[in-house]
Amino acid sequence: MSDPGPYTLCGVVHAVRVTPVRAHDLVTLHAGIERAEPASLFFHLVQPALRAPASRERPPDDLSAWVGGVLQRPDVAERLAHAARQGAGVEERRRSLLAALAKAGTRAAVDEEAAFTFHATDSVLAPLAEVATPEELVEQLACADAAVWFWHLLEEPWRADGPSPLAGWLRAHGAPELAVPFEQAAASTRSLDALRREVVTRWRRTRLARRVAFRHEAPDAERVQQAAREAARLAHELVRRHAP
Amino acid sequence: MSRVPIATGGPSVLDGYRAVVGDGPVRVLEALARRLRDHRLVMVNSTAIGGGVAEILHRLVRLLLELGVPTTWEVMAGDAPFYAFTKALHNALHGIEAPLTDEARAHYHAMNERAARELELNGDLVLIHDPQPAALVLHRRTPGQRWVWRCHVDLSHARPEAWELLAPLVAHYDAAVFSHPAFVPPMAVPAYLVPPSIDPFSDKNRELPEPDVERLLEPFALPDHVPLVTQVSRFDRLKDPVGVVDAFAILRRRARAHLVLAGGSADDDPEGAEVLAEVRARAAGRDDVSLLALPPDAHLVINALQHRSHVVVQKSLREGFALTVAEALWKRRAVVASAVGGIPLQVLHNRTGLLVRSIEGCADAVVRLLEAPELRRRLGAEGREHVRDNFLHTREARDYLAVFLALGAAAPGPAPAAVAAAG
Repeated sequence: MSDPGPYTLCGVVHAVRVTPVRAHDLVTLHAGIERAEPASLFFHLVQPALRAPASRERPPDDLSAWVGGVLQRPDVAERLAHAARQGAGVEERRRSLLAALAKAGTRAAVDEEAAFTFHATDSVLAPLAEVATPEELVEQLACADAAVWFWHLLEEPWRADGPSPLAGWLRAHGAPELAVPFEQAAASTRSLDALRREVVTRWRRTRLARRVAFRHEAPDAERVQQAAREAARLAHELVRRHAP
Repeated sequence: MSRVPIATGGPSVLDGYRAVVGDGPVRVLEALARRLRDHRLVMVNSTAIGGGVAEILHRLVRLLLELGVPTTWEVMAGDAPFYAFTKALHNALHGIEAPLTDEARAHYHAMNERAARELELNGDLVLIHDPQPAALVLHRRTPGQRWVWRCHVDLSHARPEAWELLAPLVAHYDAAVFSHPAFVPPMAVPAYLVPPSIDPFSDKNRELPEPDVERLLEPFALPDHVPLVTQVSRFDRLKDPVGVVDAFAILRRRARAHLVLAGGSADDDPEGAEVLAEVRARAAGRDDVSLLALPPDAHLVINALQHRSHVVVQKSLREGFALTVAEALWKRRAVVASAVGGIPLQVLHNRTGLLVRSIEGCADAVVRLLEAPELRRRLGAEGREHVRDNFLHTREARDYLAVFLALGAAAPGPAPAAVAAAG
């Protein structure tokens, strides 16, 4: 297997801008989604996860939140929320959203103050470190900002319009169990913080399994030496704790 | 001299922020700054003393310098007619009818043309703050530069004649920046969103020991046996200090308290003395109201006052952002504020404070907080965390750097237009 090379860990910062596209009811929302630039769909469908990274669940997308909360159409909001997670790329998701709205009908429009304003983001990358192994990756990620997790879990796969590049790198490095959260993040409803905990937990389990396997496979002499070192360490710790 | 000197001695600002926001956000900020170390950033506004913009720039520029982004701050000089016109323009942008005569407009453009000759604007990235220097772009824009107009004002109720004056100027910029999406009028250039921020280490926001609080407030002889309800703002009609006095009169029928209205005036705001007189008249005869006209550098006194207050009020009629709200939240104060402008970005109703929409609502909300110490504590704690995550200078610096980096990927803006005073 060829060396997949190092991976560049990045944070992402979003320069958010207002677009002239606005919606006052379901018909104008449909029209807005039709003409929205990809950066706008990204902001409203994916970026909410970064606004509340530590929440118990991932926040809803902006479109279904507006339809449910402002237009008071919870039925349409449900279908929109479902559609927002369907499809591998931006155009598939656009088609899903439009299909969800196609038969929704319309009622009274809301006034200007309650209108939905389409935003968009210009993403700016902040390269942080190059990592050569999955171990280095998790060490760096464990103390990284939410913006780093967001990029690698959600935005990088979105922009790749396909499988998560980092998941592919992890699999190429023989760490398929770590790749799983990155592959499942897009369709998940869990918050960034919950996904982060899953990655770290999987990593700890992997290291524990390796330690156990190593000890099981190691020669007897080596295991005896290791046991003696552990016993000495434990004795030293006991003396230190109970010293006057 | 137009260049504002920035104090750079003392402890590292970045290290201080690392302790407050964590290493993660600071590393991202440092990584962005590395991408701009070969670029020079110039900030321009109309005063180095007083007002929220000057306060932000003193700290923000220092932070950018420590991040390694070469940054300078230029201040445009003005005269009385210029400030009178820009105050009228400020009011008109907030929806208040105000005279914008042809003569005054011509003078505005002449002052900008003069400033364009005097200021050092040879940066790769130029950030112009608010309407006063907005016309500089007509006179000094050179190919290759990125010019961004930063609007700190809520334009959602702007009078048409006021926006018609500014819009042709803004069209010459590469982008504009606003604090809130509702503030953005239709425009020909990209409109980015960057809420302003506070510095947790400044005299206005740092932790103060209790003896210092008492010492700083001693000259004002405030009562210590009743809860303080405080609004800290310029004496400006848009801050509605008379409305606060009226709300206080209502709440005093149900609760014991003492009202403090503390403000000064930015040296580019001529109306302050008039409004203070109006407030004095409304509060005449009341011994439970204190009016404090503070100098522009009374940051420690304001800190002590907010620290000492049971409830902080911001009952504005219009707002750009209201930095006083973030300041109070950072000090874990319970806040009652109008649901206007950028305030709802900071005060999340029933989570980080209470939003109100009337004098009666303000009175009821203050009574509710005075009667519920546990609610005050909970709102204050969540308010501080909300500010930590969203309204400190590290976030604002990050957003400005991101805007300039985003513009770098686009084609340069229009070449300088023929110079002509728009009228």
